[in-house]
Amino acid sequence: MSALMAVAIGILFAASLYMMLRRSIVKLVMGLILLSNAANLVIFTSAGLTSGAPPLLDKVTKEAPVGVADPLAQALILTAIVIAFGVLAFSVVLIHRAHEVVQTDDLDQMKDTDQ
Amino acid sequence: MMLTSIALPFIAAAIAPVWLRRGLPGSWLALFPLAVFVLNAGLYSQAVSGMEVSAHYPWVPSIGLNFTLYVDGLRWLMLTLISGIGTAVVLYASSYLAGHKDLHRFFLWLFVFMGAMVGLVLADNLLLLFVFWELTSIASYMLIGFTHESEKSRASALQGLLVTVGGGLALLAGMIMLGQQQQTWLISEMSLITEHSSWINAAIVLILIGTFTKSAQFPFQFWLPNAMAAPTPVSAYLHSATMVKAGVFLMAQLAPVFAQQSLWLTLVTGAGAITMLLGAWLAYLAVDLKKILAYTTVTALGILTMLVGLNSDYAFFAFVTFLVAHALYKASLFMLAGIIEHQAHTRNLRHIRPLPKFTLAVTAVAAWSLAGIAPALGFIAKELLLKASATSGWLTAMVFATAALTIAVAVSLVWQPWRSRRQVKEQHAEPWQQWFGPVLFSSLALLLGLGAPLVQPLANTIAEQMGANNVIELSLWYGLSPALALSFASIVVGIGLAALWRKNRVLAAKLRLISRYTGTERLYELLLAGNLSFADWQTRVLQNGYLGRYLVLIIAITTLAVTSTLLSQYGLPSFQFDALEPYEVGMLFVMLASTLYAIASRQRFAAIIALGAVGFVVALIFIHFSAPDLGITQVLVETLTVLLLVLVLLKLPGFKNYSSRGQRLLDAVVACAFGLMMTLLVLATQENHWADSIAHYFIEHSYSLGFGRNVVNVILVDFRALDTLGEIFVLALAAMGVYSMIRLRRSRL
Repeated sequence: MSALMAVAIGILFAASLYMMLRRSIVKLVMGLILLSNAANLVIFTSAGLTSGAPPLLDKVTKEAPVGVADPLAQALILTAIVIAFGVLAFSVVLIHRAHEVVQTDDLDQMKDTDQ
Repeated sequence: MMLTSIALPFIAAAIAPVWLRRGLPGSWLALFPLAVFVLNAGLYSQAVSGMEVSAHYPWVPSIGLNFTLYVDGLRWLMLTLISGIGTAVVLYASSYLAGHKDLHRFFLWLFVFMGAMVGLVLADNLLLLFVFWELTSIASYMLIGFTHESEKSRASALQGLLVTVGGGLALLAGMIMLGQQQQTWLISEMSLITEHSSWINAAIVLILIGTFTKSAQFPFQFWLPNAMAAPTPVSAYLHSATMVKAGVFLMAQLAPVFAQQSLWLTLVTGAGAITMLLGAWLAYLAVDLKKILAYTTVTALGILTMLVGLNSDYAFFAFVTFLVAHALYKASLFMLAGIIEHQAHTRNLRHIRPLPKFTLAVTAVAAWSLAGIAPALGFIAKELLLKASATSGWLTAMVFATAALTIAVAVSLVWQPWRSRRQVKEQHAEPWQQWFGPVLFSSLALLLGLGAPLVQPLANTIAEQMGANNVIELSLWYGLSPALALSFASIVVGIGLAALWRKNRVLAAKLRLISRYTGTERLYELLLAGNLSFADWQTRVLQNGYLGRYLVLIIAITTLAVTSTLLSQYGLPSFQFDALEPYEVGMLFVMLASTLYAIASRQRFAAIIALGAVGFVVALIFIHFSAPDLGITQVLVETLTVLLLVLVLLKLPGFKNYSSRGQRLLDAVVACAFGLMMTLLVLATQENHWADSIAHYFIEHSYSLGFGRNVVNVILVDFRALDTLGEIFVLALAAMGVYSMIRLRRSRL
């Protein structure tokens, strides 16, 4: 599965960068969303894919299940997901405002600071 | 004591602006250099007897950079000149520039310069010396550009800075190479290098680039005459007596170390000789009083450099004598130039008006020393110089030509105002502060020839340090010799050239123009212009404003660098299939299919829904592989994302095909290459186990320290709580940004 995952991550990255290279600002933001998903999956896969052993301690023994998944990588990704959402919310509003001011959604038309 | 000497000018630099702003007389500031002079005078007996005076204060011991100070004969002499002439220059400037609106700034930088110069000649540690070396360049930049309203002044300042600091960079490299070879940073501990290697040769070339730029040696001589844009007191101080001598000083200090390196001897002698003759020739062509003096300074620096390279007893004694003589007469000539400019209302020697008798007399005395005619100290120096250069016919000829041209210039300096028939304008008397330096120094330069025995002990010490074997008696009369005959002949030729001075000015102007466009300054200008247009071109290409091109460049370079490193350091990671569940394949298939649909779709709404599908599959992957918290968060965030996108993006225009087919193909190739690289990287991380996870610590202590059974949550809110606080802060910031963009409109501001 992890080898296949590596391929899937590669495709996600390729798709996200292709979207970010488009001139439409809407596509740029879509690429950004794909990019954060891809990046999270890289961290997740690198820590090792374990099914059926979440890092939750037993109620009674306070022991972790055998072969438990890496909690540190998960904590890292949790933070990343939330931050990525913050960035996304900001950029979505930013491009909306930019479109209002510049009256175009073409990035190549936004190359000067002068209006 | 030595530390006090360095500190005093810097203290003066701090006090001067306040002092002058209060309207207190600037003359009093001369007490600071005077104090340095007195402090230094106390070291005379030790310096001359060869007893070394040193002091050591740790600064950055780990890299060998320490405040190691040291006084020997040459350093004592340099310090005497810096503080002595410094005193006169401060007095002179306080009157010459009195009432100038930026006087406080002037004195600030003059004293910073003075402190840097004192530090430079006291520093035993090469690295410390370099620190002061660069400080003099910076102070000089501020002083040359003092009248910053003038474009010429700014360009000259920049030129001086670029040339000297560029050379300083080479010097630093050379110093480090020398320090490595010698296993010490202390000049006093360095010993003669007997080996010949490319390492030493490289060090020599680098050090010489540094000293040649600082001391205006060919091919870097051009910045010095341009530095005359500085106010006259600065020219008198920096560009004749002190700063430009820094390069010569360093070469003299290192002369014993490189005495057996033929590259050193050839380069130093050669550059010195060329500079000497070139300076004299250009001085003869010039008509501007300060330019003339600047070129004779170039000549003097060439002579001093050549003498270091000639490496003989005569050369070393000539070096000391000429160093003293030149500093004295040149400082007084420059100060006189300022006075003459006030009195004659021009610096152009062709259009000069008759001068008051006193001015003319003092000028004559100083010019007498410049010409090097008995009984001036310069006469002894010239005789020793002729003897030292007798080793080669070419050198003798060059020295002779230089002497004749210099005499012609010296005679013209007095003769032109003397015979001027122009109308005398109203003249104002100069105060004593301005006369103090010129009168004292020019008479000293003249009389020291008679009092040569006074200089003898110091000359002996310095010459011995530089490597002289025998003592040469300094005297005005060495008996009849070829040198004396040449000296006499140069006077005759010089007077002849001076008589032609006015007649050949038209020709001189043409020759000046030719040398202007064929000289090394032209090369500097071309380099500077080329550099600027290259920067311009590069900015236009790289910083073109097209976001897509930036991204392509960044992605392509990252991909190339990472992939090549991965393949060369690690090799191709292997691709291993392991057991697959059908639903795992199904999840990935849905994710990739939605991704491709999101790219290809021409409808915004469909694309957003496809993106949401990708996000939900990622959530499923998290849940399937033992990360329930991630799954929950991802579902929440993904829902919000889709809502946000639908709300906002649908207000924007629909998709259009902006790029050409070729552009899309290029983007696709670059994006796919990056994707392939990520696949390889992930495969490589799976194959290897580079470091142990530190997760077991959190698992073990999650309950005992954090009192929680959900380890991920405990990490977030307990072990790494500060990180989470930071995260909250970022979100709050983003929220504030969003709010302000929605609520604040330009119309409402």
